Amino acid sequence: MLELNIISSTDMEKRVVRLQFTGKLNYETSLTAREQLHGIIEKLENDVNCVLDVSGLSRIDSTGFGVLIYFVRQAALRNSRSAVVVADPFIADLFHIAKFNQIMPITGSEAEALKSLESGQAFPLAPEQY
Amino acid sequence: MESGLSLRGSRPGSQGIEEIEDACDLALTEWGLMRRRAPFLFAIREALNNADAANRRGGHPNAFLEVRLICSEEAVIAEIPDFGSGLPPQWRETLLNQDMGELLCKERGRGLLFMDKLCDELDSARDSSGLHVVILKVRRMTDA
Repeated sequence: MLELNIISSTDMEKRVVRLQFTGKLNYETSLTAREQLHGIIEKLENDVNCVLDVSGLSRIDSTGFGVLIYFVRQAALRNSRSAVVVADPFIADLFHIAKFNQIMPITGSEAEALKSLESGQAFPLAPEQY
Repeated sequence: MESGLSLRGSRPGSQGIEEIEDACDLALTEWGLMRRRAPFLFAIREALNNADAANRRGGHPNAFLEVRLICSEEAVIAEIPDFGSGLPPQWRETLLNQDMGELLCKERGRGLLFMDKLCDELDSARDSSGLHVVILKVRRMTDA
């Protein structure tokens, strides 16, 4: 069964876009996810901080990671930086195996994500280069 | 003492993946896999995704997916058959030598990386009926 929700909200004052993922971000839902994210990217302003909260996901797989990187790269092309919020330690490990920590903060809370984004922390790799 | 299970979805192709994944989870729990259960299950899911993609490429989009689980005192093994041609030659070298940025930023191709990292062994073979089979193994001694 396809069950994925991506709720997007924008804090104009702080120039933060929050994406809350719930349900499944995997092989079965990847097309739907990509379509939804494409719609969000089309409305994305330049120079915003994007917080991708995947704590509500019940399942994720490598296809889901591919969908996330699609968003991160598209946001980077708009000079916007992204951070991930993940609660499950095993899923956090997966982000590290996939080396996402080389391009963006992988954090345990939204506050931590915003703090990291606002600090302008440098990362070894830039997604817009690839 | 060895025990085995063959788990097939009741629906074809990717529609059966979640059902098989849930059944694998139950079996791995019953067989007492602990710390390695979630990583192994994740690797099995990756292999199922790849099997479905290989079946589609091979002209079998409605093939039923299957996981064969074998449990012994030493290890738990999952075999996932498909109609594909197998892992690419020198896949591990290719994986290890990939440019990190390219690996990181591409939208596909992480499945093998995850399977390799999350299992103690990842291999590819032909079964008795000639189907390509991905073989994943976790050793129980690493599950403490």
